[in-house]
Amino acid sequence: MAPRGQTDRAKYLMDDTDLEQDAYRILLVEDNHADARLLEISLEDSPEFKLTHVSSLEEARGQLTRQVYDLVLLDLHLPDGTGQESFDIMRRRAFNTPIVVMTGLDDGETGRELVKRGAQDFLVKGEVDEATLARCLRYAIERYANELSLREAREEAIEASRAKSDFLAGMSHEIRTPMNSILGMADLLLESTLSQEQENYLRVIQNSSEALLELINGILDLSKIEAGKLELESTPFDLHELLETMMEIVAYPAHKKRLDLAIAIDPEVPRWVVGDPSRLRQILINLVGNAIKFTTEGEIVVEVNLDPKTDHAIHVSVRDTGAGIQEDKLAAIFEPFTQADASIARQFGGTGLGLSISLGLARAMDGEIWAESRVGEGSTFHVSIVFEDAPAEAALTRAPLPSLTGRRVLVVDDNPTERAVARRILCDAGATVVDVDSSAAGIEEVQRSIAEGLHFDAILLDSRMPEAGGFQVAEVLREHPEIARRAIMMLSMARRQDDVPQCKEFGLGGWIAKPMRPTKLLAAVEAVSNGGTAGDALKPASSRAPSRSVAPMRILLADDLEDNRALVQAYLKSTPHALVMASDGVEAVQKFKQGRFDLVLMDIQMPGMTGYEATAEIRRLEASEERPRTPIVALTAFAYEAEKRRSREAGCDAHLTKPIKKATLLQTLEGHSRSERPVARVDSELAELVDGYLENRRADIENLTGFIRDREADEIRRLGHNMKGSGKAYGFDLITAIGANLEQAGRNADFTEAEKLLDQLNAYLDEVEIIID
Amino acid sequence: MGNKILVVDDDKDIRVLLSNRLTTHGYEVAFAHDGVSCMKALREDSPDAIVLDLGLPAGNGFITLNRLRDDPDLCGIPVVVLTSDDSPESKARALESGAQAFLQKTASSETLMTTLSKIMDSEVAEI
Repeated sequence: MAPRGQTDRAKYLMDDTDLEQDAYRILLVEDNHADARLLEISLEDSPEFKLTHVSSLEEARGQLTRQVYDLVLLDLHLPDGTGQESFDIMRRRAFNTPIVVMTGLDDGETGRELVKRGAQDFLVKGEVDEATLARCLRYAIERYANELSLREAREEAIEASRAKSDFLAGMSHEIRTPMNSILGMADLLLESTLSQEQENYLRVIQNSSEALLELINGILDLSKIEAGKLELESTPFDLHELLETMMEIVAYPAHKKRLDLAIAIDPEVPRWVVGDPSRLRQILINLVGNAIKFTTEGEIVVEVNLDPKTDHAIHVSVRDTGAGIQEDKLAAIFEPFTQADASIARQFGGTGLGLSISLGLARAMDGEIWAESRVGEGSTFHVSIVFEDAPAEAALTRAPLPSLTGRRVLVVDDNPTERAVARRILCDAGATVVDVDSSAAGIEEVQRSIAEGLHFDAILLDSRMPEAGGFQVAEVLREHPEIARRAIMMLSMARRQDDVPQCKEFGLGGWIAKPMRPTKLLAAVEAVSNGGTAGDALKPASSRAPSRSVAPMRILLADDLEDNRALVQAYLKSTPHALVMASDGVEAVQKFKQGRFDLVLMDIQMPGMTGYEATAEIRRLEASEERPRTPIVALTAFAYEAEKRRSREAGCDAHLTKPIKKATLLQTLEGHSRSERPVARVDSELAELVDGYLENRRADIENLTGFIRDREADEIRRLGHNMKGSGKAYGFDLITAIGANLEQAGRNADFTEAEKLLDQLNAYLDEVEIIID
Repeated sequence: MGNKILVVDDDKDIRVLLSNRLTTHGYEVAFAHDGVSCMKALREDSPDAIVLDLGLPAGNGFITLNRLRDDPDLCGIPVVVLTSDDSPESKARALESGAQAFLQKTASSETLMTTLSKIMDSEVAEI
């Protein structure tokens, strides 16, 4: 390898009209002229070296600015520097030039030390013959050149790897953006009036686009695995639950092919384990999905055991009665884009990436996947994955609960039983719980969390405590609306009419009624820690049906691409929502400043001000103008976990990965709709009476149930009539409406209708939020 | 004020509501839950005004209005009909039968109070 700087040097040499073009230029820094002369003589027989002699570091500096040298030969006893000091000075001056130091007989130790600090070599004066000197210098020069090129190669490789990652992320965006339009428009077209032929063509477009998207996701997954960039979650989860729901997912395609599907979980297999549930699900669905795909008749049996060979490992086998795979092809099927038979892709579809991804995932989880098979008899795929045991508390509850992993929750309640119950429920869901028994202690905890920057994701406050109730804490939180929004008041029913408006006044995230139901508590905590309100989560699942009309929202959409804006606009055409559009981050912030919005859809990758920056700016604006926090949904082309995390950190509440489907968008909007819960506005004069009034309606439900059972139409009519009247008087429009319909149903002796109205009333009473005007 | 108002409504919730509103505004309140108890209360409590629902058991509001009108001792007591029935026919019939005012149950507390004081004042003026 040629020494670095040869061309540069050649240029200098030409300028100097020096003809010894191939000679290595050595700069000798030596104040002792006798020593210097000795060295010159030693190198006289080596024409490959051209020696320049200077006597001080200062002179050396001057030389080095005029000339490029291949090596500096440095004496350690100079008038302007000695020992290590002189070496360090020279290192800075002769950057990218190798240095060989010369020591006296007595300080060989210094020489060795300096080699560690970067000197190429050291010579002991008077100990070196001519040949050794020449060899030492030549090696030093060549070694240095080698090191340099190695370093450069390494830097290039790192750069190339970074470029590859950037390229992938960029491609992901570039591919997803047009995919967004294709899938979206196909979605919309399918909703329009089409001939059968057109619909068929469109289905092909849709299916192919989805297949393409799946392929892209697969490639991304695989590249992440290969680049070692896979981010695995570590969360406690219910393994049995995961296995059972996974079986439900694959049951449909299996049953469609009339295949039997069975799962046997050994009771020794722990229910609660710590790991990455979504990646495990991905592996299992891939294995079982393959089994279903390649089996035409018979059964697929999934067996789950403890792995006898490895500690804490769980072994899942998936056995099918399919065609089987030839032994020599067994290993190859885990290679990307390889299926046992080239015709398989055509026949069965699929990307051919599934098994390589599964293998990569399993290995990333310290596991392994392998297969055994006999042609004609079927195949068995095995996966063995190491899991940590979940903490003991996790094992207490068996129901599938929302995961609050990583969430910090503060519980302020004087009642030790209630506190313990809340703690257990929250811990089971994976939350970290801090509990205190008084408002004073609660305030202390909150202040400490602010000081330490370790915010709570949710704060549960008991509204009634001796001395000071939860509103005392709320009073303190008033100065921190961002934290107040995460507080949930636990209310007793008796005081609801006073407390609910207070919760609003203090800007709290919501309230829940005591005694608490675990599901409601968790839903509420999950909702506020995700930036929603507890009320959103308290709606019974049945009334979440999409048929329910959504209250109109004002939505701000920021996206630099017109196609994307047009798509969202088209999606929302049939909804009551009003859309305001911005084509970049600056415009989005501007429009947000001027208007009032219920929700913001924020594209992340925009030129100029990115979505992250715009989101952060909006959050700042809200804080400085004391506006309520507006939900912001990030729209990104990135499927990476890191991107999701980054958008959350920037202040987004939710995240949609492009291409966005209409249903997903509407679902997200519904999830953030503020008026999902029915609201009754009540005259403040009636505040005291409202609870009694609603209690009486509960009594009506009982009576009505009896009337319907006994077929007493006239009683139903009368009850309906009264309900109509009192509903009007108390300001409960929906009760009036239900009453009027009941009156009519009674008149018509329509008991089926009456029953429906009964359910409606029941649901309303459960959900209604009272606002005292 | 101390004026006594008789509230006639079969719905307990309405009675509670009106009791609350009227006592807040300084009225004394008596109750009846149907036509029969209304007539009884009229004699026992001698109210200054009546707030009457139309859909009553044991003699609906119209029957009660007619009885009041036909009784020389009672015909001077002003009546506000407070109903969830908003048909013009009912309104016409109630006013024909001697009601001084016809209000919806949605009426605000303020409207009810204004109406009550108006009809009681006019009563005084007529005497």
